[in-house]
Amino acid sequence: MQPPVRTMLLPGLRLTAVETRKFKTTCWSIQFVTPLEARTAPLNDLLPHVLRSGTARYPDPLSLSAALDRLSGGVVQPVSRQLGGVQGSGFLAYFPDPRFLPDAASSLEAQAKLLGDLLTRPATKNGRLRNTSLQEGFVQRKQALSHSQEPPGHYARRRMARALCRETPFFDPVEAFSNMKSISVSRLDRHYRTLLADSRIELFYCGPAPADQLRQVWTEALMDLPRRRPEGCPEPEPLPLLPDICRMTETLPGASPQLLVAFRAQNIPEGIALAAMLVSGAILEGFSASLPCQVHALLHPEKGVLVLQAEGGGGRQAADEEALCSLTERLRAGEFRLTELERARRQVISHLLAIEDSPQAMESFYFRQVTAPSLLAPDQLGLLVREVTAGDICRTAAGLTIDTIYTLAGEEA
Amino acid sequence: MSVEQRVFSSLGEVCYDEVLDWGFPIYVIPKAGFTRCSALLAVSLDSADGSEGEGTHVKDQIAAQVLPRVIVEQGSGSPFPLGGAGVVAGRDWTSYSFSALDRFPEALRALLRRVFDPDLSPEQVRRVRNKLAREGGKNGTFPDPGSQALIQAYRTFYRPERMVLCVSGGVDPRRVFSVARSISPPAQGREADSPSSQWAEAALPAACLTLEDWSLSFRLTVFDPAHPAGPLALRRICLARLCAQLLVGEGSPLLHDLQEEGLADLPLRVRHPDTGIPPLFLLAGKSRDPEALCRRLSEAAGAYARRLDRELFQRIRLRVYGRWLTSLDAPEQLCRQLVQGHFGGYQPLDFGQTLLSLTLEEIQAFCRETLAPALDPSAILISKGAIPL
Repeated sequence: MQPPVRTMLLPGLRLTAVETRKFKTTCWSIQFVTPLEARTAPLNDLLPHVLRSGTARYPDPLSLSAALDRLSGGVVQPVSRQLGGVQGSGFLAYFPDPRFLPDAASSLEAQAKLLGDLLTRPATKNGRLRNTSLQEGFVQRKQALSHSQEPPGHYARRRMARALCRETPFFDPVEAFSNMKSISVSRLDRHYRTLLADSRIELFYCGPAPADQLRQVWTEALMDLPRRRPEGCPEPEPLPLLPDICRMTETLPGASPQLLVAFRAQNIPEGIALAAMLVSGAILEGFSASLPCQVHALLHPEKGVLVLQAEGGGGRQAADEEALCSLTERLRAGEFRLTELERARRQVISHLLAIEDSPQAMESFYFRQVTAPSLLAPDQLGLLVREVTAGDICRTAAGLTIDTIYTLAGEEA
Repeated sequence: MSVEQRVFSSLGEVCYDEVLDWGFPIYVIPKAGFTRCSALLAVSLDSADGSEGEGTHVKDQIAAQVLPRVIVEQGSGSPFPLGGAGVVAGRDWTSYSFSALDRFPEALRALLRRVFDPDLSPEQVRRVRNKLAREGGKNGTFPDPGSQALIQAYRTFYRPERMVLCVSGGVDPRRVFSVARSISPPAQGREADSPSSQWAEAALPAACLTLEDWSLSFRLTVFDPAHPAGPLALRRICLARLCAQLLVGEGSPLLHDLQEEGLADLPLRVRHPDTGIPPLFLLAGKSRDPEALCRRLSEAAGAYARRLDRELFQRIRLRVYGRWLTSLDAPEQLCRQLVQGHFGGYQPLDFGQTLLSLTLEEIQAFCRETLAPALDPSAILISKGAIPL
């Protein structure tokens, strides 16, 4: 697998490409990346679902589906996600690698053309997005949100994210969906035109084609994109320092109890500090063998936040909370063995290398670096993890302060 | 026995297999450059006593539901500390699976030991029941079948010839075979009687519709009256998958119409059987009128039996091929396909070539013979009669 290549194709249009012959799938994503704002977040969230209903060339789902079939069963999914202070909305796509197809039934050019059309040349009526596309988009978005029942652990993480961002922009599509119905075609169309001209567009590719070929293919596919002055994206910022710990408690009948404690770092971790935070999380997970519940460490580097999530447990709020907090105290005091440090390092490195086993995981990994000034491949981050020392861990732990404590109770008290 | 090797040069894959001298089959597909490695140990639950009920081939409930829980919950702590392990009690097989990022051979050894030499004592069963009840409340409990019944079920089903181990990912195949050879065969399984009979074919309906809840979720199961084995089974599976996409896959006119009329939700889920023996074709989703939906499905299959556009046929065939190809990138999915192939008597990596060799006429014949008549409402069984349509 080659190191990732990042290159600007057009003003504000950036390609991140990973050349590899490891998979039978090529993975693409193309998305608008914008600052997360309360006014535009619902529009950005809905937009890819509306655009997915047809292009100028394939204006209805049936013809679009036929076009994907001709690309050997390609799959294009609308995606909308947030990362700290930015929001990405566009498409994630998979195509079988033409090397393994009978009669080379799919080509890079055709894939790029279709994806480019989906994002930039939608089906229109009287020059603007169609109302039927908007209605179809509502249906598709609702389906995507309600497709599966959300496990209590996921629900708790979503609510924790909401609590963490109490002073910063945050968008929860589940909460916001009912208000999305008030979005009109004209408003969405205006917003879409602005995005086309002014927003950053991020393109990702993981597959066998070299970067030079991708540059050529995409420059042609998007040559008539109406670009004005694409705006930048906000730099990642740590959470604002608030005087009090935020406590949030909810009840979800029948759910297994969840306790989440979010620790805020002083800075956004980069380089060896990021590696140390990853290893710290793994050591903390290892500590949980002594607790009556399973503890997961979840790192949000874009916010400089480490969340410890305890599932199950005794349901004794105060005792469980104390137990979780005491874990970081142990880290701070250096109360861990070198074998625990080595085990944690190995675990983190394995997880990082496993990212390179899945095109989708790679896409997600690089999206998390969309605002980073330089790219770090999983194996490069793994090399940094190898260098993390006990002193790095103690320093990381010393910089953590409790920001938010979230509790999900299974039964009504 | 020696390790057999089959090269699939057009796919860039090699499949290694060996049947150990005590009858235990093993398949390995290594994936170059992968860190993760997956293993799936499957136990066939094809009925050993010929019992039937409710129109489906009912499996031994103790073997299907209770044994896996007792086996996987042995010892203290996480059952497979080296990787996320899971046990799935399916309709056709029980699968014990895990993926590991490092120390895969150690994890594999732990899995095989646990399954091949389980503690089925009354104390162990009691301990597991208490543990599950503590962790999962009412949902975690299961009836106590008694230790003897459990041992009997284990002896009947957990026999080497009813099991298969499939491995795929970043591992040297020699290490997998070496670990498997170092494990003793299931101690209690070798002396048991052979499974007594096949399930009664006459009891199988052509199609079975189950209403799962008040929101009219439904599951449509079509059984293959031919239930062949070997390459013919693979051909039937290819036909079924192609027909499923043709009838209710993304962009199909029928699905579009059904959604427009409110007869189907988005999306209908096309499922495929665990083993490659019947059932052949499963469909799940929600509808305000599942019977009407099945009628429409049947009519559409009948229409395709009479006339099928060649361009559409080729396009859908390419779609199925492409989606199957991308599934080969996931070691977990490869393991599942290998298990299906083992129990169905075919090599799953032949799926693509078999699919490409299908003709339009074969599809039409399949629609005519298997789907059109089978989906006649008269063949649909409603298992929960109290639920109004």
